[in-house]
Amino acid sequence: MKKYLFLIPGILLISGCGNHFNLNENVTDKNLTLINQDSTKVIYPEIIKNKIAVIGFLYTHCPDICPLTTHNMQLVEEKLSKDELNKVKFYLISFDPERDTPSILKQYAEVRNINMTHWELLTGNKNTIDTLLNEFNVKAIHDDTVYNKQGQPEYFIIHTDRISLVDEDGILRKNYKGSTANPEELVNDIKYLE
Amino acid sequence: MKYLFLFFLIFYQGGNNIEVRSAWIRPAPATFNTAFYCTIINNNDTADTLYKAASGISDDVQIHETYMKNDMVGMRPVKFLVIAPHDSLIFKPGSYHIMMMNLKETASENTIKEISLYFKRAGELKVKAAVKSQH
Repeated sequence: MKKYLFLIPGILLISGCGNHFNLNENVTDKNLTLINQDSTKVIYPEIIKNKIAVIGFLYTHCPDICPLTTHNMQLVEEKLSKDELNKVKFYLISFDPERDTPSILKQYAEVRNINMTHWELLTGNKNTIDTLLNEFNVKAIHDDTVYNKQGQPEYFIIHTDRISLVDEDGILRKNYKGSTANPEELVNDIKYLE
Repeated sequence: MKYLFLFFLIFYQGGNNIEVRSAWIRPAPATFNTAFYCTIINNNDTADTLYKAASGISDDVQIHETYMKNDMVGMRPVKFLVIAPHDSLIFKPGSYHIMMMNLKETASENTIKEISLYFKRAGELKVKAAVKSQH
């Protein structure tokens, strides 16, 4: 028995290697048709595979928290090198498909100078989006609807504040609070996956 | 009569010693919602109350706060906010903000937009805010 004691540090080291991330969930067992900001149909999970996916969840009628989430993801993008960026893609998924049409998402991206080379903004029909939110355990609850002076519905959404990191195999590795995420932490986690 | 005039002049100056600093607005296209942020400093010996905001770029302007509960976030309107004497109130992302809904025109980065803040004592203060992505 004593002759095998020298193996223990090595075993501990190897078992520790897989524990950088706190999650190990497959989020690709549902096939879903989504629509991107160019009104192009895309298939999930194919769209997120073979790249490290940084996924934010938002609705464009949110003026405060969701822009923070977007901004944090843009900060992550800025901190990655060109080579590192080639292995990463950023996604914004709207949980307000009734109002966040492809053209609305496109305007949202344009006004924020989002570099569409590395980004995709996604919407879809309500059932599809609900299924996708379920995969990531993201909740979005409509508040009461009121009508503004132009007769358009106005409601706010209480929602999970989230950025999710998914590896190239479609495994969810870590969740972050979207509005207060530390870009440095995300960058380090991305580099760990590369 | 001139002493009465001077009294009202001093009173007006004293009641209007509210400063608004670091005002900015998030960029947003027309018809979108956006948020206005700033720091309000009450240099007076008495409290004042912000009860309304208005702007030519939106017909629906409300005082709002973002709140967090567990890992969920939401927003709710706030009827008024009191700023204590010699104190300040900060409107910042993730906290209090002035919500501007259904913009009548695009708020483009690097432009200036005007907003009016209404106080019970200081009255209307017109503020120019820079449109920028993040402060």
